[in-house]
Amino acid sequence: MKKSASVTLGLLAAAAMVGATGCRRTEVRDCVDQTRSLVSDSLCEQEDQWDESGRTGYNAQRLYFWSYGGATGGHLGDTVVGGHSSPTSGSAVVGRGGFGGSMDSGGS
Amino acid sequence: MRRYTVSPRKDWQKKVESVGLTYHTLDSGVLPNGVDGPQPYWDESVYYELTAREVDVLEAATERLQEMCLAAGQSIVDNRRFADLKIPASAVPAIVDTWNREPPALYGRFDLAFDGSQIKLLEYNADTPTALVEAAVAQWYWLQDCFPKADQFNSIHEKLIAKWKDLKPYVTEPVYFAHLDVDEDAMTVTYLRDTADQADIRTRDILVSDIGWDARKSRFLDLENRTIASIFKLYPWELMLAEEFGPHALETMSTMQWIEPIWKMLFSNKGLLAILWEMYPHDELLLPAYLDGPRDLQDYVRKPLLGREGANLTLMANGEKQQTYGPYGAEGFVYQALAPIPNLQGNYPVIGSWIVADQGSAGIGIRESNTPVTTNTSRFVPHLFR
Repeated sequence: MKKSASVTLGLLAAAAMVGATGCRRTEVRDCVDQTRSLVSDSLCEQEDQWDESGRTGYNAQRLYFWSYGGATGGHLGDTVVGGHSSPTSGSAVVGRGGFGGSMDSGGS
Repeated sequence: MRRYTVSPRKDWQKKVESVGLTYHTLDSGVLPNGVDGPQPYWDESVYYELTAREVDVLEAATERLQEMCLAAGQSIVDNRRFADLKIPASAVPAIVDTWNREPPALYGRFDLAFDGSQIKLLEYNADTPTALVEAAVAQWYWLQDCFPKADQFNSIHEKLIAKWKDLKPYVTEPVYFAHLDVDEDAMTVTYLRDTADQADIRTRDILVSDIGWDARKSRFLDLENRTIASIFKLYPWELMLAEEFGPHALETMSTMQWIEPIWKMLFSNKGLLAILWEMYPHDELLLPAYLDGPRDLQDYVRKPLLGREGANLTLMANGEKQQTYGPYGAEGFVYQALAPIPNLQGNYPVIGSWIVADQGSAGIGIRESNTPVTTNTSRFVPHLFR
């Protein structure tokens, strides 16, 4: 026989059950304000840039935060429930989005 | 190799979705009857039947092609042929280092023209091959449902799990599995992650765009800022290197395991076809291929060195030119003699022959097109052999 004796699926079957959109991202990242309301990602990205370039008087305090793994309706203004916070001041400065911008699909 | 038409299983969409093939239908495309609209990507209204001898021949050819490619890789490294393949100079030290050090590598897919007797290598997808869920899983379940007494050239699943078991002592857990946020890539990577999981390797999923770079400690991080030490990425090296974090990937070669390793740039580059022809001229598995032009070829295909999914090809056949379009070609081309792809009632099948590192030839998938060019809209059809 040249076929697999069995093809048992675990993670793939689970991903298939929740549908394609349910399996893509195990950790959702949302941008929230101090009341944990969902705001545009661009506000957190701006904060990240200030983190990197150094903060001055008018932007000395971070007003918008990344929230990881929370649940939300996905509309601006929705409350993000659960999740955990982005790195606090003094922890590693992390850039993201440096891979993945060139293609719609990585396979061939 | 024969082509048969057959009634698809009732609720075939649900059946293939349940085993991970959620991308079974293309949003649009031109059907064989000329109508433009949604068309099946997974097409079980057709299947191919091979003989045991044909399977043996394909298996032996795949093993031999892998040996030839390894020899070609050594030749490229020994003779510093990187510029011929338009590989960036900045990547060369890492390619040479990983070639010699042999960090974990997993799999690849040879695309072959096969008319039942002759086999010709069309190209080698060694860095980011897909159509894996279809070949390893969906067609296996199709066979169980439709022809349970028949055999199939497909031990991909078993061999992937065996390979991950071999790799377990050499990877740092958890192994991350990175992909773009598209259905096919997500399911392909989830499947590979599943095979690693079944080899008792702890895994985590991450989007390519969510990989973080910690400049102070020169390390890649996940979304919770945990260090990524081993990662499988379904994203091609040539694009990674051209992106913002590309230089950082090169920085991490000695501290991080990238699967596939960066030396796979030697194999996923279509210039490999010309190197192979230089080393093995007139080999029965190869087509004449050149880097500097078509030379004496009358009927040939001009392929971008880094092209994908049949984009930016130019076919010259019987004095007529056909072209496909896309974003590739600035890096240069290889000129390959036109392959004898059989025409079966207007359908052109190409064999995708899988190899799992150190496990050998693992099985095949077949994709059919309405033209001699296999593209991202070509249909996957199952197979069996008796």
